[in-house]
Amino acid sequence: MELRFHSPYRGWLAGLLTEIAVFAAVIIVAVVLALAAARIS
Amino acid sequence: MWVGFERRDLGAIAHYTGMLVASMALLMVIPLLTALAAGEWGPALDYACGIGVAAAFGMLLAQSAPRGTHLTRRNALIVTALAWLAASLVAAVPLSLSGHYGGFLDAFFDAVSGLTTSGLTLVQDLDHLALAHNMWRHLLHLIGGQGIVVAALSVSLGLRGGGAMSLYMAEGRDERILPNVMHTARFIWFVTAIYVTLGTVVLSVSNLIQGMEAGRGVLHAFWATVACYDTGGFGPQSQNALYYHSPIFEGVTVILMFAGTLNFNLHADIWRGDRKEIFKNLEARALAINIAILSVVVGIGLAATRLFSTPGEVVRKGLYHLISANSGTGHQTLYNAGWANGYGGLAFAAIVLAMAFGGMASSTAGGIKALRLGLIAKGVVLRVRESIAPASAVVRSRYHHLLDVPLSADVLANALMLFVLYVVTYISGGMIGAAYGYPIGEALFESVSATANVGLSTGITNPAMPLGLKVVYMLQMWAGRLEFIALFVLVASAIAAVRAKRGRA
Repeated sequence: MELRFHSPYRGWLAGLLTEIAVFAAVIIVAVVLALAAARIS
Repeated sequence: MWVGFERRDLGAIAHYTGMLVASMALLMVIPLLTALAAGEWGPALDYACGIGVAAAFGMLLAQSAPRGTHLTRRNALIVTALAWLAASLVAAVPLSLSGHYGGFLDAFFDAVSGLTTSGLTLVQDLDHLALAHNMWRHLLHLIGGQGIVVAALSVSLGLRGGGAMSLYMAEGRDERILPNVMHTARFIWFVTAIYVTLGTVVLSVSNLIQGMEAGRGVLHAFWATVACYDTGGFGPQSQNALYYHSPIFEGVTVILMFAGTLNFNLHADIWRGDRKEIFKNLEARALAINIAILSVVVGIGLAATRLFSTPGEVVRKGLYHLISANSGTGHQTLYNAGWANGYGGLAFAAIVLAMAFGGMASSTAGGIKALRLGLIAKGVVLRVRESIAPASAVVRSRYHHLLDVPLSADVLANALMLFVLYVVTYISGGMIGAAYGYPIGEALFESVSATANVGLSTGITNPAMPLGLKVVYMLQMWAGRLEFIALFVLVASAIAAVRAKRGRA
């Protein structure tokens, strides 16, 4: 079996932007949930 | 089987511990240069003394064995446990000379807290601490967050070959990101450099817009970036993140906290182009579900206190603290005493749970870790499925963490063992705090914060706290950062060595 390691350096910018987009999406979902909970309470 | 030490074992342990301690001398050059650039002559002398002590102590130990000495897995675990302690001791030397600590123990406490990326502090008059000392406190987060072994590999102090790999694995890293340990260390620093540069630039602009003087603004931006990306929690001001009163500051630091809590293997997969991994990964899913549930609890809990004027204020304060707690950062935009007196009940419980659960494995975050919680949840579902399936049926479960993996009894047992160790330590520290006369809720909050390397505080951690409790919290921070096993191996090996010596006598 051949093991091949792809370089993580070549796609760093796209990877970085993906991560930031995912973090922002999680924050937005958390804000919506917490806001809804705070209004109901 | 308990195996005693031979002379060559002790030599190898001393050699590698010495190498790691000596690397601290090299890293102390940065605060020394900061002091010289800022004309802080007293602190410059503190770091000259620190460099001398670290270099002399490290090189003395390193003479115990030749370079490239073989290091067994057990000895690597012992070196790791000892190196974190010895590095904290030498790191405390310049801090204790600063005049901002009640004594060497308080400076040692801050060094342990800095290196373990906890963020609990015993510093006095923080607002007037020299730039060099603030630089060192935040560099401790950076070194500890990446790992002392990774830091030492980066400055190439002769840590190469099999010994380096054993040390790397013993430091709480579970997988190799790249085939070679030096390349793995470089990749970890590459990710860190990208996030630290980006965070520093954006926060510098934010600080300048807020009216901060340029040099101070950039330094504050760098320190806040390091403290959040490395999930540390130190700050250059006694009010911590509250000092900035800035939504931009809070938004950027929350993104940095997320980046710091992401598994380095996950960073590598995403940066290699496998962007779907973050959506399929059990650990990422477990963390997202955890944050979603606790967001609702914090929202309800803080709103019920009627202490905030609008729901928007509840969300801004509550979520900042929730992400800060979950990622193990400890940055705060509320006063410590509020957790003890005003924000009790549901929100208090949610923050304690977030701290206890922690972020992802193989990241700079502490706590039980989302992967283990995900595995335990999968195990519970598997047991329920087994219970309702026909007796002849074979029920299996799989999970996705970088690869599709069958859920084995070994993996589940390991996750449960660490879960139990963390919970027992949380409760034990809480009971010790209660024995010193603190309310049990506050004592538990502080104990969880120390063990999970978070740094949020109800105010118990202060220079006037009992000496015994300072030692307990230091032990908790140390044990939590190394995930217990390296510490247990150190204690068990010490007992075995004593027994072997008695047997020979």
